[in-house]
Amino acid sequence: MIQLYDYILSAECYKVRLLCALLGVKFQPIKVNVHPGGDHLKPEFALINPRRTIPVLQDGAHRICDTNTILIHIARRHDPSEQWLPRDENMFDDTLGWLGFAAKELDLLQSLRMNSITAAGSASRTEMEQAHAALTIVEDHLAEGELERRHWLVGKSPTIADIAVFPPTILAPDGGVPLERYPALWRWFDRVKKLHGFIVMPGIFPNLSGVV
Amino acid sequence: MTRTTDLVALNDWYVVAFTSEIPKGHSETTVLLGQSLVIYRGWDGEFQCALAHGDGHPPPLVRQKYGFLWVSLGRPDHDIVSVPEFSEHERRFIHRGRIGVPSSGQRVIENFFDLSHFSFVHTGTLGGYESAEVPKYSVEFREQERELWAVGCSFVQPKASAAAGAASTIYYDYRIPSPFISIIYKDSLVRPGRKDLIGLFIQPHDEESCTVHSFALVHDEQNVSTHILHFYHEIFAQDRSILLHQTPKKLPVSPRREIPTISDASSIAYRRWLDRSGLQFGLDRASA
Ligand SMILES: N[C@@H](CCC(=O)N[C@@H](CS)C(=O)NCC(=O)O)C(=O)O
Ligand SMILES: [Fe+2]
Repeated sequence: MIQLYDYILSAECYKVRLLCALLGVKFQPIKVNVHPGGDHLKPEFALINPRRTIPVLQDGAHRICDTNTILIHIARRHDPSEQWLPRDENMFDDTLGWLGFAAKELDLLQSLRMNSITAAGSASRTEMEQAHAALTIVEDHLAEGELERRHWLVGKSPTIADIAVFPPTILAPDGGVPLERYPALWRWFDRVKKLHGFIVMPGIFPNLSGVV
Repeated sequence: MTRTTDLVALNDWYVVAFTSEIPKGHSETTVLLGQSLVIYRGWDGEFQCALAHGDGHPPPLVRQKYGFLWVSLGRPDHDIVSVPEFSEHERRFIHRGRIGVPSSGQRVIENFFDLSHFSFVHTGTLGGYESAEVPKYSVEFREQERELWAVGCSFVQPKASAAAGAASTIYYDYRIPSPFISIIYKDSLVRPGRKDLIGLFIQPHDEESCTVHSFALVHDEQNVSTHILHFYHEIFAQDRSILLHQTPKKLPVSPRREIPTISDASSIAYRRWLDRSGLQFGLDRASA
């Protein structure tokens, strides 16, 4: 069985957990004491991943130390429908474009959130502006898409682009970045939460219509 | 940030760090009650704490206790809270880490002992949709009215601790020995008849932000610490995302602003008790 080096409050790890849940892929979590232990920064962990980051996926002898690469790996191996990583040339490019955006432009949201949770500091004004600039890109793209009945980041079905962008954006308030001005994001969050097999992580609440 | 002038707040003890978080020979800056502090740990392991901008105020008092570093900016008329279970050695000590919360410390304490949110916020662990009802419990004052207790609380918990295998009805006592400290005494699932302890030592930075230093003393020989930690951090982050949205961030204490229900008995008692203490810091005393 594949193994995932995991921390419950890591939104990066949640991307992998979420894709696995949606595709029905089972994995064995190896829990890492990220906070307060900082175990991922210790020399022992560098033997597992020299970049000293999580998630890390171990699939047989194959080890992957990068979130986007893990998402691609899982989609290629476990999604015969090819919906989550489309083969169509343009859609494939667009999907990878959003993965890059998630890793680069949305990384700030992730670090603001972890810093805020671990009491290590809060956002500066410049960081706040950068965070909102990144969120606005997603908001505008989704709002335009809705006019053309495109309800996902790439085309008319969810892809790993949605999986990579959903956690950092919906959890932005945890890092002190409010989401009031992004109505299209909220509608998209709702669509993600209604996906069959959707799971939450702490800080994200399920869509309760029909439950209570 | 300006240092509070509230003597009730100043004359109390606060945790500002878990001692092993600061290596020997290192220093750290932090803020307590609006006062910037420099904490330095000498090569002998001892701590010193100085005001970053003294402005004629006396130096802080510093103590190490229970593995945490305690500071008072004023002249406390009482000792650091007594928790005898720390020296009993029958439970496992877990440092649950520091968690920053952009709200008043009082909001965090009130959330901590509010049983009515368990089903909807900690679904699957501390509560479930099937049984959201909070059974009756009683509120008591102990230690010459110094301490507020909610005793005989109970709740049906799907997974009450990292060691839990099945749902069960768990009994709790909540102890609030000072406005910024709360300790739960909760049924152990491993040693029937014994209690696990979970405690929050809150460091108020200013009236609307704080750091929660917290610990658990649990009967659990089975699970590795990281597993127990992940169990608690799931609960933390759920509480935190609820606390982010509570307004005002300062805790209202005027009786006219309460909507009483039975499960609110401890929260009303806490607000009244804070009101009577004369504390100003972190409280919203407006009446409407
Ligand atoms: N509210 C604090 C601490 C959270 C906390 O301690 N929550 C309680 C529940 S409200 C808890 O962990 N309880 C564990 C238990 O009851 O077993 C935070 O946000 O850091
Ligand atoms: Fe809670």
